[in-house]
Amino acid sequence: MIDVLRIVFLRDLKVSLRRWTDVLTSLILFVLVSLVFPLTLGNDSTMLLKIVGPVMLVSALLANLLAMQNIFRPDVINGSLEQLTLSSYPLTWIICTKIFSFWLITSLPLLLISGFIASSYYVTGNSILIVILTLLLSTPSLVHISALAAALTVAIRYPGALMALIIIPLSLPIMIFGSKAIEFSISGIDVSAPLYFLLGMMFFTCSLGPIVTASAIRISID
Amino acid sequence: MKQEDRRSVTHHNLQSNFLELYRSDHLIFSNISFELSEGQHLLISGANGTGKTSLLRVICGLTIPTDGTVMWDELATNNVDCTYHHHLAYLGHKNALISELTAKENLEYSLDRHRSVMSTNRILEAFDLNKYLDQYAEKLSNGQMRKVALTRILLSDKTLWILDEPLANIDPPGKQFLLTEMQAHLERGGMLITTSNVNNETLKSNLEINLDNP
Amino acid sequence: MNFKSIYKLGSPPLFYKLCIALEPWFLISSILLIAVGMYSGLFVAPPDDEMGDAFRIIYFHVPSAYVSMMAYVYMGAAAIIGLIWRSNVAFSLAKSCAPIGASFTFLALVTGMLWGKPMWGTAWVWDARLTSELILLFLYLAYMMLHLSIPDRAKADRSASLLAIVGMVNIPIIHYSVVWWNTLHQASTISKFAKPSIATEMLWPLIIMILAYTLLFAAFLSKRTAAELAVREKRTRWIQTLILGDKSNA
Repeated sequence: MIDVLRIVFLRDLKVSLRRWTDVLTSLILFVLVSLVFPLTLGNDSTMLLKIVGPVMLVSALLANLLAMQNIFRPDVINGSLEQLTLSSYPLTWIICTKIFSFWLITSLPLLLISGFIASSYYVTGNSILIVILTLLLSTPSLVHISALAAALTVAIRYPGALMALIIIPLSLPIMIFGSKAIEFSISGIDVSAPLYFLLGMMFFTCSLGPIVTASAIRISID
Repeated sequence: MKQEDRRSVTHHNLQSNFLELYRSDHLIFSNISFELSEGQHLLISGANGTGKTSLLRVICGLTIPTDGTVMWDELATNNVDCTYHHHLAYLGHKNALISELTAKENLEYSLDRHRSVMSTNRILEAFDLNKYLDQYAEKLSNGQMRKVALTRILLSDKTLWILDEPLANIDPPGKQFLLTEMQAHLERGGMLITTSNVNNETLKSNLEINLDNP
Repeated sequence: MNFKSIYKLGSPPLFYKLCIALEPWFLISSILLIAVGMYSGLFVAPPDDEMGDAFRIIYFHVPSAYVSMMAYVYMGAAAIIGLIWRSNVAFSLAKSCAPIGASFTFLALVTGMLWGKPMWGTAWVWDARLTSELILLFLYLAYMMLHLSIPDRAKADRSASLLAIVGMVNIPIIHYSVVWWNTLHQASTISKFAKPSIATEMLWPLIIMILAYTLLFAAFLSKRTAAELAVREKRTRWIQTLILGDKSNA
């Protein structure tokens, strides 16, 4: 089965890289949204330090919302997701691999650039590492929740904001703890509590998410 | 996971019992029962809109019927122990080709075990696809995309082929080749289910289900 | 436990008749209890030491909030039953719970805001409970929108049921995240929203109102479920004889 997962992973990676506009979408949105705040609020370092946590998480969420519209839809339209459903390999693992490759394409660039954006918000030293670590722990959960929302809405022709309506309430805990983690590290308080929570949420969503997403796909393809 | 040599002498059979499908209060079909064994071809015929594609999807397991069961080797197909999907190759209306990959990559990255390189070349030659292998799938014409999709099925080495209007959009030499391949598949002990709404353009069938009745 | 009688409940004609029969009882008993509760809450219970008469809105806010959360649990349970047994009755129940639950949530939010104005001077405050109620409202809206957006009814039922179950599992997580987030901005007025020790004369009307709202929810739910079942089964004989009398077409 590992061979099959490797084929799915490489295939999806290749396809995502060829749809290079998708790769850039989440990155551009993340950068633009996080840069809008200092541009509109002004050059006040204390205020920027206060808002950097929420801004990072919100930008990651919005970038995710937009990028995840395309995780399943093209494959449903061209029929290849049907074939994956019909294969003798467990759909849960195939979906997990798909989501992982999508995470690599959409969220890994965010992690890399978040350090620079954080420093533009006057974050220094260890806190920049905490920003990257927070995004590393929260983006997998966000991606799995968005994949579930995408799977539920994939059969709808014009979903509009329905995906956002499903994703945002479910991702609120991650947003809360993620932004608090960054805020704590900037104020010098111990960061472990929110980070542990994010880690827990990551295990929770990454283990149960693909199972529910696979069921949602089977229902939508019906 | 059960490893089964597909060329062994295990005999398979596919059976359906009283299949019925309602969609949003409309009856699509009801009381469909058949039994298909090795070397047999089931043809599902009917005018447009009579539910041929829906019946095919129910047999595959993509759509859950409102009533009735499909059984493979005496086990219901939604039973965990059933090996139905190991032996199934399905081609629907959509070609399952990823537009951003070339034709060759689409075939390479398919999940099914391939037959030998010689068979691959033979089929590609017969379908006249060799010139188009490095073109992106979205640039191919409808007929060529269909041929690539069919190549994937022909190479997949599965026992049961479920094909929705396989001869549609194919040019005459391609059709001839496909009919020969389907016949060879049946002679090897394979099973075939196809749909068609043109009577003379199919392989001769052992069983027929006509959905035209009121 | 008699499984056979529970299984029989899954039959649409039986459940329909049950809903139609029970609904007037639920409605009448709930109206009576509301009258009793309102009278005792508004007039009989003594005014609170700190809040004066303003606290009386608790008799409308707390029952609404309670019913709104209970409705989500009902919806989730009906969704699980519907998915496992593919039962039209369970799916109708789940679908009907959503708008009623959303309305009660909205009521809870509005009464919460009406309470907030005399208490803290502002209508909205980011307190843990109000914020959780707001998120609950969004979860209901997501369910309803998902159900409405999918044209095929069976598919809509199953997708929306999955969403209801995921939401149900996530609600405790969301609620406690919001509580944790709130304790970081410890405002002294927040503790007033909690009900530490409440005098018995104030407690009884509250319990009566909670019971009354639950019965009201049951009344609305029965009526709506019956209507939903009738629509789903509109081509079957039992509905046609029931609604059209014996002039039903064969």
